[in-house]
Amino acid sequence: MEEDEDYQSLFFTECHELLADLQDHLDLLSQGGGDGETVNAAFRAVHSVKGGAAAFGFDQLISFAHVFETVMDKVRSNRLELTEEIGNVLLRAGDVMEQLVENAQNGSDATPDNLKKVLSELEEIGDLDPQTATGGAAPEVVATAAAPEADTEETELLTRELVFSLTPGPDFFSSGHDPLRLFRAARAHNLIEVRATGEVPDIDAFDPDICPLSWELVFETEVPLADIRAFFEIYDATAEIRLLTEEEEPATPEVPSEPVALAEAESKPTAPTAERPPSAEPAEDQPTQQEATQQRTTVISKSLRVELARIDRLVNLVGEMLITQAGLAQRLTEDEKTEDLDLGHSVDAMSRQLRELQESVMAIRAQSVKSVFSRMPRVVRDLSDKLGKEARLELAGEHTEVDTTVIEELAEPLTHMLRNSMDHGIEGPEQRIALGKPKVGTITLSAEHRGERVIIVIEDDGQGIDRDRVLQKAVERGLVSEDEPPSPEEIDQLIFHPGFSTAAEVSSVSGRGVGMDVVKKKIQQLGGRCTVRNHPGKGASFTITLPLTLAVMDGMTITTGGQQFVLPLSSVVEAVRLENCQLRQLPDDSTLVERRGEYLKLISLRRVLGMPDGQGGNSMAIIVDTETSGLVALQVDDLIGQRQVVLKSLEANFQRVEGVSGATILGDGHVALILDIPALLTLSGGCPQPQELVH
Amino acid sequence: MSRVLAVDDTRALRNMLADCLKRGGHDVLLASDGVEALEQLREHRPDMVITDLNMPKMNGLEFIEAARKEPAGQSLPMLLLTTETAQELKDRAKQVRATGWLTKPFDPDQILGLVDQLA
Repeated sequence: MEEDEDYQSLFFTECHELLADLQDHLDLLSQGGGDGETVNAAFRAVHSVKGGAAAFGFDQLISFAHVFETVMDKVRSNRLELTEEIGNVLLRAGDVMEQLVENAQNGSDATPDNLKKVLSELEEIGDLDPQTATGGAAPEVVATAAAPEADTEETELLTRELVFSLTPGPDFFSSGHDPLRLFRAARAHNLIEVRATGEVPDIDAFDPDICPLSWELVFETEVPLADIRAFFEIYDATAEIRLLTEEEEPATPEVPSEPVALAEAESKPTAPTAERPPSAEPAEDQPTQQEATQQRTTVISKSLRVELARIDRLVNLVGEMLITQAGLAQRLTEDEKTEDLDLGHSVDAMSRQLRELQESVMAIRAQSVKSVFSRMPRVVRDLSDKLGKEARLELAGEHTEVDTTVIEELAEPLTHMLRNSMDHGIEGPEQRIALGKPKVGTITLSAEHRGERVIIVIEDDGQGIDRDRVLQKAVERGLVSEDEPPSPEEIDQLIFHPGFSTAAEVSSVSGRGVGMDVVKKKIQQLGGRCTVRNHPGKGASFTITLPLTLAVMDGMTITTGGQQFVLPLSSVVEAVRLENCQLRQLPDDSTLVERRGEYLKLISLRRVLGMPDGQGGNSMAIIVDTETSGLVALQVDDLIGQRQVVLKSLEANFQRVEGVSGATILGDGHVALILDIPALLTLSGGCPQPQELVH
Repeated sequence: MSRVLAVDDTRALRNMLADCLKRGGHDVLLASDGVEALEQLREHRPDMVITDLNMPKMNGLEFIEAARKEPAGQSLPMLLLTTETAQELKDRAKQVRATGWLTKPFDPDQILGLVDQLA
């Protein structure tokens, strides 16, 4: 049973992959793209889901997939032209199938709302008779399941002699049969004697591929005749089998039990075809299949499923090892008497290997964002229908890999942001035409790696954020004062303010009591941030930046005010000694530092952290990237070095501290805080243009 | 004990079939399409093949047709295991000299019985 559940969960994983591919293929096809192979791949996806569903007995899914498959088969064999309208029905069918899979996964037998509608749409475009179409799959399954029970109520039979004759046809050998194996297997049914009849011809006339002999097989058994017949069924296609002894056939009509012999099927050519229209010769359309599917299949065949918990354990262990290694390295440098070069080399090598180990472990956890992205077109389609707006979602960089925990958590904020774009960004079709924009709006969802971070951008070509309305709402709610109007950028930020939602009154789609502040919070939990750029009238773009991994990062250790801190190396551009730099005092008491002909604002970390301006130190400037407002110079006491640090969350034991992304244990056993530079600078007001939205 | 090659592009079904065969004490080879199956056939010479029909790259029928031209496949028992029921496919299976046609979902006992009988 447990194993069965294992198969099921594997099946569901595969289903989701198949359905994601199906959506891709259907999207492409309904836009007039793709080729024969795209159609084939889409057909196979539906077919595979049906096959799996049949194996596990998900009835609703089976019968729906069956109709879907029949229609896809018509498309595949060019008996149904794929117009845009039909493409849309197929897309909807894909959505329903996804829901059915989800229901099956959750053990629910609820019927998706639009199942009936989509089913009848499918039947209509496929020109199917509703009864045969929906009924086709189910009886097939029931019949085969019931078959073995057909003779269970057989009346008691005495041991008797049954004699069968077996005359192999010309294809007997070449279809993989072997009389010797047959005889051996028949012993299980109490075969007691085999008599050969016929003659072996002269060597000149002898064809080794054709069996010249026939046999008589004598059974002495009490098993029902049907069982023996079932044993012979597999040979029916290529040999003539006759019962020579007379026996009354059992009263129950013989159900064509499996295997359905090829010959038997031949003898009743019209029977099983009714439910399925003649399909094109499959051999014809297959040879075109090339690399597209090749990649997928090789990946499947060489992958290994591992419980996430096991990998997490590995990640933690590697993290602990990094700390131990750092301690070892530090001891070695402190102990100046040690002139043992070999030992130093070994520790260096160990450090490199550990880094590789860590990268490899993180690579195991990495997963492409495709699994989340591929769910999004459906969100946009649903909303298009609901809102009466037309929009297309374009995906880019779906293969960007992110830590699997991040992936799971991304779906919700992304869905919400897309809703937001659809609801507030994209205009209605008439309005768009009036504005001279294309009738169908475009939302782009893209992902890319930048340094140690992943950048996800949602961009739409709608109307942008309506600053007047946002401001009005904010004033109404007392978030800002009317007397000191915020800058346009500050207004844009207000949409992330908790308790701010213009949506509740405006629409039912994004205003379900969840605002963009929830999105921000979620992204923050993942160690990321979320910013917006508004181009009124032209659209808005939301940028999410996320750390690649949540566990280990490269850091630069510095001291300031007698304490050690770690700066994420991804934020650090370079470190300079202040004595080598030109400083310039500005009238407003701020200082600029010159770096390669460019003046950067110098910010004292002591002041930012609220430490006293003590004596000494303050000798280094770390040039850091604020991600949104360019570079600034951070004044610190001293630089200690660069190292990998294992990120330990503060939230688990304390609470979230603004400007601090976590803590780590240094090589000497001390705990150091890891600073979140952009957040910290915004907090201190040190950022020139506060476009950073995470406070 | 026989060496059986199980071919299916759906991982879950492939594993299920493989486990069923292993429980019957058989050695199992795996392939996820006809092309891989042919490679396995040449390299490991199974005693029997159970293959899905609809697969990418090379489907079950094409695979059987190709396998019959290989020394290792000439007289090999090769069963199709599929949800398809169309008559012309069955005819085609006979033409390419498939040993038999089984419908999914399969009955493990039946599969093991057939392996004992044919391999």
